Amino acid sequence: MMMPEPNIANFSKSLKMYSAPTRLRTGFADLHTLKKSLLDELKELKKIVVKKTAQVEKVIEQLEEASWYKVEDKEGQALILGFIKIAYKYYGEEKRYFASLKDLKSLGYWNQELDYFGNSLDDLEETLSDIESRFLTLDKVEGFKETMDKLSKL
Amino acid sequence: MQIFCTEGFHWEFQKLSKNKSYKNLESEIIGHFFNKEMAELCNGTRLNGHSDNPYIKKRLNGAGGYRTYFYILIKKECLYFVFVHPKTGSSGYENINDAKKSEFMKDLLEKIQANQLLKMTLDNAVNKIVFTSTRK
Repeated sequence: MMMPEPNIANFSKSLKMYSAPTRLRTGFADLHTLKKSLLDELKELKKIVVKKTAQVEKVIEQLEEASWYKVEDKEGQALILGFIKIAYKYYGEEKRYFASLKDLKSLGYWNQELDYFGNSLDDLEETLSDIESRFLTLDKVEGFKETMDKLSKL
Repeated sequence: MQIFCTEGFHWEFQKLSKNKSYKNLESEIIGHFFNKEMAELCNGTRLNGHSDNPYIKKRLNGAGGYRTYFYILIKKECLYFVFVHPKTGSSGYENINDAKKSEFMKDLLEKIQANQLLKMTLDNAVNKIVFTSTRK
C-alpha cells in the first residue's frame, strides 16, 4: 500500500548525469551574421532551458520519493546524507547557470521558459529544505516525536 | 477514505477561495484527494520518518502552485488536512519552518482528541467541498 523503497544510490547517479555543463556556440563576422547568430543562440538557449526545467522537475520527484526512504542504520544515514549533498551541488550549479542569464532580462530577451526554469529552481530549493527537515531537523523539535507517537496510537 | 481538516486549514481555504487568483484551489484539492485509493494519496514529500502513518507535504499545480500539509491515519483510513498555502500571488509565501510543521501536528492531535474537526465531503455535483463539523 505504501510506496516501494526508493533506490537512493540510483538517484545519486542520475543527479551527477544531469550536472553535465552546457555551452552555447559563438562566432560571427558581420551585423547580419551577428543577428542571425543571436537568434540561433536564443533558440538554442530556449531548448536548453526547457530541458533543464524538466530535469529539475525530475530531481524534485526523486527527492520526494527519497523522503519515503527509511533510515535504519548508519549506512542508510550516510547514503541519504550523500544524496542530499549531491542534490545541493546540482542545485548550486543550476542556480549559478540561471544567474548567468539574468542580463537577458535587461536586454529584453527574457521569455516564459526562463521564468519556468526559475520557478522550478525555487521548488527544488524548497524540496531540499524539506528533505533536510525530514532527515535531520524536524525530529529534534521539542515535542514533535511525542506528538507523532500519540497520533499513531489514536 | 474519509477526509477531515482542522479549523486552521478551513480558515485558510476559505480565505484563499475568495481570492480570484486562487479560484482553482478547490478543484485542485478535489482532483488530487477525493475518491482516491490510499496508495495514490501516499506521495509527495514525507515529513516524518518514525511511524506507519505519514505526515505529507504535497505540491499541487506544479511550480508556483499550492502546498498542502496532511496526515494519514492508515488503519482508520482517515486523511487530515492541517494547512494549505499558495507559493505565489498576494497570499503566497515561502516554505514553512520546522516549528510550524510541528505545531500543525500538535494542533491536529488536540482537535482529534476534542472532536473539533471538520469533515470534508463533496456536494451532489461533485465540484464543491462541503465542510461539516464533527462536534455533536
